[in-house]
Amino acid sequence: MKNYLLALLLATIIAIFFSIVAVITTERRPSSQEFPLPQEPSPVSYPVPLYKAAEKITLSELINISKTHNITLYLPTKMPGNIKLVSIYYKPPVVLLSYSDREAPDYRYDNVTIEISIWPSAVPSFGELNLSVKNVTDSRVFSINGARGVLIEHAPWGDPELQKLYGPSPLAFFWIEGHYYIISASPPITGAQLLEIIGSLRPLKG
Amino acid sequence: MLYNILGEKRMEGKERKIKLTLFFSLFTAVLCTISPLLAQASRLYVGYFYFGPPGGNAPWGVYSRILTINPAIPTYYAHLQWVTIMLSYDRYYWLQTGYYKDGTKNNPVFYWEVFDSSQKISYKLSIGPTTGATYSYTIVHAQKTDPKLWDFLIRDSSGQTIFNKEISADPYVPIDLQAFVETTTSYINIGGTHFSYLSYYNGQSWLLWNRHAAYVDPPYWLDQVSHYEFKAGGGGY
Repeated sequence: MKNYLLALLLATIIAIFFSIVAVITTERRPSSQEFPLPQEPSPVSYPVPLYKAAEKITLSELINISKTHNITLYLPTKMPGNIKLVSIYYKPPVVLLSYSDREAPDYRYDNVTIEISIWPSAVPSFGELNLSVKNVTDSRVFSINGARGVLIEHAPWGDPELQKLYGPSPLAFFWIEGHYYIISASPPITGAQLLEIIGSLRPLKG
Repeated sequence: MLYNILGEKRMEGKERKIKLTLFFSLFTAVLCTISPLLAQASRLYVGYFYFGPPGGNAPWGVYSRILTINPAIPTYYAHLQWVTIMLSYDRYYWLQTGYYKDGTKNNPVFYWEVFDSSQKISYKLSIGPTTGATYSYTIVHAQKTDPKLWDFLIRDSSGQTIFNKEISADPYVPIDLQAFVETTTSYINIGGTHFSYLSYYNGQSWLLWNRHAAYVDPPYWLDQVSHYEFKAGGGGY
């Protein structure tokens, strides 16, 4: 009985100790996702990620959407290695296609992501695009297979976790037939490989 | 020694009890430790996305009137109300303006921020909105020769400009609009939240949002007054 009470007392002391530790850590040590202190250079806010609001749709549903609204969407026909289309997120006006060679909980952890705006968008001229990359050593204008846009070789990630995980990596934004696309890749995919993927884009057909 | 004194079966029972007690105490203690950390690991949001059906025009600006509330904020937590233009969801690039308050402040302050391929700038103004007053927050494409330029504007209820700044963003094309309340803990009570006249700029004129997608994290609630107006509350416990 005495030993039982002793054990109970010991357990209570341990519980109190952990509770005190919990209070101290909660009060004094914010987690990395918490609001950064004012003197830190990191952003104040983090807007709502798409995976919280978008619905996942199938490829055939995407085909139906493009048919219903008479939009020609271009999807890649070639990907490096075993990378393939694993999921499609849809929250108008955004379609997000996630390509991966592994299990990924959502698009943030895939190999290649393509975002498409289903709104028509005015296509800038070469002159405007060249002006936009003027004095930017990391960017260049390209035109491949009807796609015209800008490649940024080493673009950072807004999500600190992904920035730490991947580091700066290739990103391209471009227009095809009046629609705006952003394609993003995580290492080891290079800028040249990203341009090859863009070169393989073909109209999505049912 | 105990084993010898109390006998095998009795001791086995006692040991089991002691082990179980220790296990549950430790389990409770660990839960006590991690539960607040788990609770604060993610941010909470209440508000609207613009829901843009195909066939519309790309939104080259966002506008909202936002009533200023001033809830109590625990140390190291924050409350923000803002409008945002998303430039990329995958890369997580955006333009944003609104007001915020953290646990170190008595009153909210205005801020704007840009996160794109070349920079992450978060700029807090030394001034802030008056509690109970409504201000308008605007982000609109500058429509200049350099396509990367965007204008940020904050105006008071009389229309007087409090803040106006031109910022470059790369990439510069908007893909979505958001208007949200953001908190870093549910202990913040957002009662009184009111966004109104949510509008987008189609490149020629300002139009009220005609469709929206609502999003709300519990324990907060959202009153969807219309496509271009919402009220929100809850939290504080």
